[in-house]
Amino acid sequence: MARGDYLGEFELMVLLAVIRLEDDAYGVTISREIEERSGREVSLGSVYAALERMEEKGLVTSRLGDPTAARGGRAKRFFRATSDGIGSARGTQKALVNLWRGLPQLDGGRA
Amino acid sequence: MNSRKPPRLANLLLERLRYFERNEALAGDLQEEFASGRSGRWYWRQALQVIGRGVRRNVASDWPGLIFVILVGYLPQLCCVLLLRRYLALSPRWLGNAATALVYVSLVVPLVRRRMKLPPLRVNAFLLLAYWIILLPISIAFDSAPLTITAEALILAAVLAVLGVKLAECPKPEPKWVAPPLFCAQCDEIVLQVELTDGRVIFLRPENLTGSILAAGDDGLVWAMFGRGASIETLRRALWLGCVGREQPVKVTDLSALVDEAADKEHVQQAFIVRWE
Repeated sequence: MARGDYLGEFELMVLLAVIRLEDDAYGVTISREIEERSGREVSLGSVYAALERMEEKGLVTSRLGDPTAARGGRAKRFFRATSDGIGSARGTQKALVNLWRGLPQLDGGRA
Repeated sequence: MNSRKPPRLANLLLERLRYFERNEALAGDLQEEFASGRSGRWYWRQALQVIGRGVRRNVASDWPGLIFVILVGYLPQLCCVLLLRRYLALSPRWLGNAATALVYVSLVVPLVRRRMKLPPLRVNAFLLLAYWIILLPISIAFDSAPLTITAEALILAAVLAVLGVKLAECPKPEPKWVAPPLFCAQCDEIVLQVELTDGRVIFLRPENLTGSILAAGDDGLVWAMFGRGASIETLRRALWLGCVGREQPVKVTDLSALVDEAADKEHVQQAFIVRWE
């Protein structure tokens, strides 16, 4: 993984949610997944901004679903992580774990 | 189906500022979440965050142009103000207000015209002249501070309104580099056929670009694609450019030129516009 290719905190959260949701990853489910698992409220606008950035980098791809009445006749945009995206998430995890390891202050929840 | 209607004003703002038009999926997501029980306050918060993000992107994408226009526009205005103060002994307050308003005007022009088709210096000279031809005689003939202040305030309000709307408008989406499906009739997806030096023909796909390049085991191919340290995004654009209007396999020796072209964003945008618009 090249220098500067690590994901930011929010991008990583969004990418992990996309990977976890598999074929059902679109704006609403991604933001709910992040809210449920992190306890942090996220805006749909910031989720889309992160997804668009990652799509430009080739970490995710998207396709449009069918329009539904519940959405005012608008289509869902489904996202899927690419192999580069999965590799990038792994690389970021590895870097974070390496930094984490051997820090007594962070062991067992002590401050 | 839940028939709750989202806050009308928030919806109107997002529609008029073209966020719904340019991101249909976001519009649908907001509607779906609201229908599932989110509050009107939540909807407003989402709408304002979307607009705030748009303002930030607009400012970020235009800031060099804005600074250039302010600098180029402000200097001649400042010179005129100093000369007029010296030779006509006009009130510094009035001149100061005029200069400030003109700086605001010079901010609006590039935003309204987007790509600054007129040279900024000429635009500013024109605005300076127009502004002073209208306001200076009013001020001198009537010698009325309230009149001058009202006229200035109206101009300033109009300028700020235009500026606000232009800055809050949804940024234009950049062309996507990955072509829509059905690009290659046989494979139903975007695929570039490459003829290697030994005569073999391989397929490069955007999703597994690195893997398929390495799997081909051809030094010429590896050098053409990775030789100049191009980013993966540039390589994907090269793949897309290679596919535009091509039915025969591209020769591996031509790939370097494609990577060079893909590094030039303007070139790729132009190719995209020609092919898809």
